[in-house]
This record gives sequence, structure tokens and C-alpha cells, in this order.
Amino acid sequence: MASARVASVALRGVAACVPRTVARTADYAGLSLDERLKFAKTTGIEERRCSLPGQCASDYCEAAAKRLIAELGWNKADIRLLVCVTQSPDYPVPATAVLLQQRIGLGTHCAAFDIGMGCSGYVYGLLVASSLLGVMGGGKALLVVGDTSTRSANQRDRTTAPLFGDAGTATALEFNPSAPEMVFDLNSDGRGWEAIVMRHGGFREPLTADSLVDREVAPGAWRAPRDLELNGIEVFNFGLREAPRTVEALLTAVPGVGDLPDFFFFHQANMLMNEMIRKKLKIPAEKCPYSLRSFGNTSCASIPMTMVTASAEALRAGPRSLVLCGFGVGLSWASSYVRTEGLVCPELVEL
Amino acid sequence: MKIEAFIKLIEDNVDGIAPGSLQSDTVLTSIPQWDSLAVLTMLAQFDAEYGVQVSGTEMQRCSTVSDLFSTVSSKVTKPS
Repeated sequence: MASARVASVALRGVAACVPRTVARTADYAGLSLDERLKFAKTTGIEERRCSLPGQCASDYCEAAAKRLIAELGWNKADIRLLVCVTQSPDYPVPATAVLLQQRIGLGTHCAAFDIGMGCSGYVYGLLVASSLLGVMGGGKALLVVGDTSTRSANQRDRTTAPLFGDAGTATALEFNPSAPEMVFDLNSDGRGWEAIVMRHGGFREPLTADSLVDREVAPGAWRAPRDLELNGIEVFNFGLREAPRTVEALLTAVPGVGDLPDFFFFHQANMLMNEMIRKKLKIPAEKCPYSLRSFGNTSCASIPMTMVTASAEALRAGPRSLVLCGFGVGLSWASSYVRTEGLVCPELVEL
Repeated sequence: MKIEAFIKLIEDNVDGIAPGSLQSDTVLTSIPQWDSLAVLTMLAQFDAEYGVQVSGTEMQRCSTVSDLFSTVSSKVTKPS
């Protein structure tokens, strides 16, 4: 366990954007009618948003960022840092953050780079962006986080495809010497690298014609070596084991947390797993919002997506203490304790 | 840990399995409702009820209800 504290940086706002196209579990052809009902009941996922060909995660991040900047009334010249967390970059090269620096309309004095992380990535990105802004000693930073997992998963893979939805988000950070400290707990375990993997398309296993050929990997489940592969049982055991541990470690590191924090925003994996984690930590249901039902598992975007779609009103209303917890591909898991003061949280943007 | 309680845990938690329909020698894959969601549901129950985790490989080695019971109960008596 690595722990970290960041002073003098305030979390000011969060915005999110999704594609307009809705895919319903009730219509998913890879499952029988009975299986669709069981799937929705167990995972809690009834709908998810799917990007159209030509749309990238960065398009949703861009729309969310522009909306958030407008809502905050920020001067773009004050933004010194843009960090992009994604595993769905526009191009293998260059970094998506640099493309977004130009598309969002930020100055060339802005530092911009990518972090290639998945479900734990929001918390990792929050630490990197906030601590870097703290070192910069002034100004503002944007953290944009999003994925198009519906294009990583093979839509004929009934074991994986119906779980994932697409989204992009933006988070606003501001240097402020009187901001309350953020606390982080970060972990990784590469022994589990094959639990969630896209095998072909990197430099270890370069893309060949064979990378795109579908195989029947389980009865009725088809995917190619370049597609997202998920080992459900291993990921399930991992989340159940590690998510409660990191949250417990985090809260031990927060002096005087006393009463439970106002909200726990967990990565949205599936309802069965998330509810088990919630019960293990004895968190009351009303402190643990979900975006699974309408948006599915939105990868690294799931935490800000849940903040925007399930809790915006409460977050806007006044001071709130939040626990954020992400866990998944890597394997990697992390949690953070953050206090906000009337968070700026615009309505969900659709593209 | 008793196998009767273990069987009841499966019957109570996997939708569509009639109470009293499972025996210790029932082959898991012969249960029509024993799909991947049922497996995850039971993994959650083993964790909640007995505080144990069963890996995918261990799961695959279990042919019958009794095999699964042995796998889970061996972890309860010998915590790792």
C-alpha cells in the first residue's frame, strides 16, 4: 500500500458526457430472453450508451470539459495542466491529452499528458493532477477521464459486451492554500494482468490479420485476440477482496473522520459485486450511489459518471466528504478521501 | 460446516433451483440454472457466509456439489 496526501488543491467541479445511442440489456441478442432478465437483475445493468463509429472517448471528454469550464466561468489561460486517463486513445501516438489541449482551446503553456489506466484510473489521475498542480503552486488543472469500452469488447462476446458503456468526464482542480487535504491509498498487482486484457495490438503481440478473427471462446461467446477479455471469476474475487481493504486503509489514514463520509463513490463494476463490497464495509445504501442501471460499467469514467448522474444535486448543495474507490484492470486499485464545497456539477451532456 | 446447509445456500440463492432438488452427488453442470451468473452469485455467498474465496481454477476442478463443498469447507477449516 502506498499512501499520499495532497494539500492546497481543491476539487471544484465534475462534468460528464455520454453518447446518445442507448443499448438495452432487454434487446441484447447474445443472451436469451430469460438470460437478459437474469443478467439485468444480477448486474443491475439495464441500459448503456454506445459510441457511434468515428466517436472517440476524447470527444466526450472534450464536451464535458468545455461545459465544465463554462459553468465554472474559468479563464482558459489559467489552466496549466491537462491530464487524460484513457485506454481508448484517439491514436497510439501522440498522446490524447495533447490533442485535447488544442481542441479544448488551452494555451501552449499548458502541460498535457496521458495515463493509461482503467477502472482504478480516476483515483490515480486525481492524485497525479492534484499533486502536480500543488507543485506548480498556482493556477488550475483539468483531469479528463473516459473510455469507449464498447469498441474494445466484441459485441458478440456475451460474457463481456453487455457490461460496458461509453463515457467521458472532466474534473476541475484549483490551487487554493486553504483547501482541505486530499488523502490517497494506491495499490497494484501485476500477477493478475491476464484477468482483464486486450492481447493483440501492442508491441508484445502486434496486430496481424489473425488478431481480428473471431473465435468461439465459450458457448455462444465470440471474440478475437484484439478484443477485450475479462476473467469474471478472478475479477470478482479481486474486487471483493481488495476494494474493502483499500477503503479501510484510507479511512484509517484520515484523522478524525469520525462519522462516516457523506458519500462513497465506487467504480461501477456490477451490482452483485458492488453491493457485496458495500455490505462488507457496512456502508448505508443511501451513501453509496449507482450509475450502473442506465450506463453500465463505464471503465475509468464510472466514479465521476456516478457523481454527475446520481448525486449532482447533493454535491452542489454544500460541503461534502467523499470516498472515491476504483479497482480493476492491472490489476490496480486505489481510493481517495476528498472534501468538496458546493461542487460545480453541470447536467449530463449527450453527444 | 454441514453439507445440508451448504446445499440450502445454493438452492436459496440461485434463481430457479427448486428446494430439495440438489443432492451431494449432483453434477454442477447438469443443473440448468448453473451458469456464469450463478457461479458469481455463489462466490459472493461463500465470501459472505464463510469468509472464503474460490478461484476460477478451483471452481473448474469441482464436478459435483460435494466437490464444491469440500473445496469451500477446506478453506474454512484452514484459513489461508
